[in-house]
Amino acid sequence: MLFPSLTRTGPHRVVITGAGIVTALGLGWRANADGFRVGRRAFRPVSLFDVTRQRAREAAEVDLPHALPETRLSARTSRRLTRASRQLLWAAAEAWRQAGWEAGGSLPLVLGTTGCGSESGEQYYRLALEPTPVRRGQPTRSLRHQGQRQALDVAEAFGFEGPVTMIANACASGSNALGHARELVLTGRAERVLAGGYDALSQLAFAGFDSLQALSTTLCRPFDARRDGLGLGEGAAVLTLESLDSARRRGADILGEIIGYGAATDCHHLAQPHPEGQAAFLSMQEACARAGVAPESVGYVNAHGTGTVLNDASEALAINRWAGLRARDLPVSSTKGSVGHLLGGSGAVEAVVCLMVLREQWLPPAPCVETPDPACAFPLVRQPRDARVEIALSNSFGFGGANATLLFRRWP
Amino acid sequence: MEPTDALKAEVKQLLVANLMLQVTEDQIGDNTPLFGPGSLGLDSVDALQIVVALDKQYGLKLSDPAAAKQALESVSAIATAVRKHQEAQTGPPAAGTAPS
Amino acid sequence: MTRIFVRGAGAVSPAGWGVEPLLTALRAGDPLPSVESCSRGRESAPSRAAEQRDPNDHRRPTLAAAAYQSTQQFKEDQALLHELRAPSGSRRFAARLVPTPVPRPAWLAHPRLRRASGISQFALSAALEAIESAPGTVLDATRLGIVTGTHTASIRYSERFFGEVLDNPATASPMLFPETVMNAPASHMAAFLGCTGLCYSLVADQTAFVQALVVGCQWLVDERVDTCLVVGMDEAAWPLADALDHFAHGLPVSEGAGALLLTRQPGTPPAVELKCITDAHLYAAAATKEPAARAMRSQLPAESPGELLVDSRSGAPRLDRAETLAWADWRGARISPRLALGEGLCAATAWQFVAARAALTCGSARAANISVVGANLQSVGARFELAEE
Repeated sequence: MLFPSLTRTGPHRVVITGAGIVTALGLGWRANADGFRVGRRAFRPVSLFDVTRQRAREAAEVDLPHALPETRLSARTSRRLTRASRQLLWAAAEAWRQAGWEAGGSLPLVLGTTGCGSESGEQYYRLALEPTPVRRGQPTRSLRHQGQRQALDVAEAFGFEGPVTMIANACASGSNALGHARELVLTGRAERVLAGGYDALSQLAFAGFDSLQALSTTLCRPFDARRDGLGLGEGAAVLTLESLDSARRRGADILGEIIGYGAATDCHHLAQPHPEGQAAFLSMQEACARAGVAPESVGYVNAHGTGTVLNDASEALAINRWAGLRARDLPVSSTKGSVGHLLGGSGAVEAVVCLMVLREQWLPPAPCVETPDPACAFPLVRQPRDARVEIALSNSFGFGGANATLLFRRWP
Repeated sequence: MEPTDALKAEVKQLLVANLMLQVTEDQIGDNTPLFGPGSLGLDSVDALQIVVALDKQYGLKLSDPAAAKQALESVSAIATAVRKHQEAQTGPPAAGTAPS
Repeated sequence: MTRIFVRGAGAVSPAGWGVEPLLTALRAGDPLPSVESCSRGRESAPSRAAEQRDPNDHRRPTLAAAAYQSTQQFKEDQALLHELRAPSGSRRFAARLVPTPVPRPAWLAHPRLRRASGISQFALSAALEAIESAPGTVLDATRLGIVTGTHTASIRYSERFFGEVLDNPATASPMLFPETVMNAPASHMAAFLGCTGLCYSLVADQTAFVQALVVGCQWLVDERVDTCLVVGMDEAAWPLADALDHFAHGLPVSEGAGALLLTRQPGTPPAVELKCITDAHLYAAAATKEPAARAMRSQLPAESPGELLVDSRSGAPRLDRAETLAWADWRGARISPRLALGEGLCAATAWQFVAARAALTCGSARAANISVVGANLQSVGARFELAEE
């Protein structure tokens, strides 16, 4: 039963035994780690739809291979996958293989997204507008557009059944999904959970952010004094979460431990954060309180850092306030200057960045920051450098006031 | 040239229609501040929406944010900006008629 | 074991704004008067709602004369069949739309709702009614959780905005885009109620509302919140009607919202308890709808006297087949909200739960099984019981 759910008395420590990632830097941990480590920028002119009449022209598009990872999907299903499902499947395959999980049985799946199978929905709409309407393929497009179809693609691909929770909390969706998955394992509701976030580049979202003049028309430079907006990206990241007992029983290699999760709601405005970042402060404070960790022991902050004037100013104040004296030497960077803002996928991708930092002990620089915003009382990581990091924090904030923070600890 | 009352009324209609305002045209004073404390309570998203509406209805392009801020202070300010745009385009203006 | 009680409920539907009009429509049983049955021999008032009202605009009151608006006739006509048309005009779709509220509720003047689309107004109205219908529930906004379930979210603004983008991105309305995000309704509710804590928006097929209930129960059991609003909502627009038409030609698309207020305490009797939510029976790989619906049914008790079944049948035989087979054993009292009110997706699922609670609180049933056979993700069911004093 989903309720009342049998819970093996917790709390159970929650570890990560597999991580898959797809961004404009490439497919897989290695390609992404090498790119994040030097702060490579992966933006290029948009090729997926017409942007000639938009203010901004670039995005961090994924070079998606025509091939698919090895899965149990039928040829028929494989032919109909949307771009979002293909990126999600590559990330899920990498995590699944690394964790060494087997098919069969019930496994909860928690995913964050904002656009679902957006290109299928947009294509459906274009064809439905035609004076002599097209009927062929429209039923499939209308199904493929829906978020639960991407979830079913993953469940069918790796042969499991389980409750599906699709969280559409704007740009915090990926972090909310991982946070919710952590609570399922922590409370003993599930021993294993597959969780992550994704979004393919969507013309509606691109035009939407551009209509709000929120897209940079120069370079996405989070926390730079002369920043002029965000850059959109696309991709996916998936993690296999399990209880420490389960991982130990299986002798699995542990990538890191997810030790804290905080979430709060900013009621200030539908599309703008409160200038003082109260909700951001609360979500960081709650994540640390639940982890039993003080700001002093946090070694790196992967900021939400979109590169818009409003977000970075508000987040800077929140980090300053939360970190207190620690801010002076607390390294912070936003990796959205490299791979852009993945909306529903950013929380999950940035969780994997934190795992990279903890596993390989380096800090990802934010490319092209020339003059840090004086509001930042913390040093921005602007050059690649190694560093001893035991605990990393990841922020994700979004439209609608969705604020979420995750804390990860290095596994020795 | 002082914008005509007809043009100001038209601007008020544009605001009510485009911003889904819960007030009627006659409840908006010519010089009521549109933004900031004690104003009609519009925000930056409304400002962007007005800029788009002025472009669609009058072909007036307020791309530079500073100029836009100044031109959108009140109904009179908007009507003045529209009038200047119309004069620049058609020479001496006809009475208050906007190019449809 | 922590028990969960349904302390309040609210609804908005094509029958009107509130649980009462919803129950009236359901008691009427067969589908609401459709256009044909309405025009037979009835003198049509000048502003009959039958003409295609602009579904995008929920604020301008209909043109009906004030006198006409107060008659029972008006209420019936409001709920009758509307029509949605694709811009190319060639295709028309039956729809049941929520009537413009008359008189206009005061809370609609809240600044956050000025630009909000219908779906956010439906959701907030249902949420406020759920809170008001639970006297004695102390509402500490910092300990209030909000979880919404939707299928297509703010499709009306998404459709309008994307249409403008295809026309000319440079003049696409910036005001519409923020309202198209799927968590806009939840965000407006949180801002209106001052909820600074947990607030999730979930998306799936008709079962998204049930998944939202699961998350709400988890927060209450883990004491992350003390009260939880769980809201199901969807809104009608021609692309949704167009898509539905491929699967069930003629089935009217519908819209609205339903909300439940959950707490850990029973409150004043009659107290309705959420006894269980079945497992999620996915339609993955081999498992098609029929075995999944049967597996869901088998997790809910056999029929016994004084019990009610509230199912998700929509009246389209092909879509209803799995659920009809799964509940072939049920002989007793049964309500299918979609038969009367149309396919309201997650709103209609929420109406099922609201109707089930009402049946228990008004004494017409001791317990209710709620069956939700989703269109393309999963079947999941639940059970309400009257908590003994």
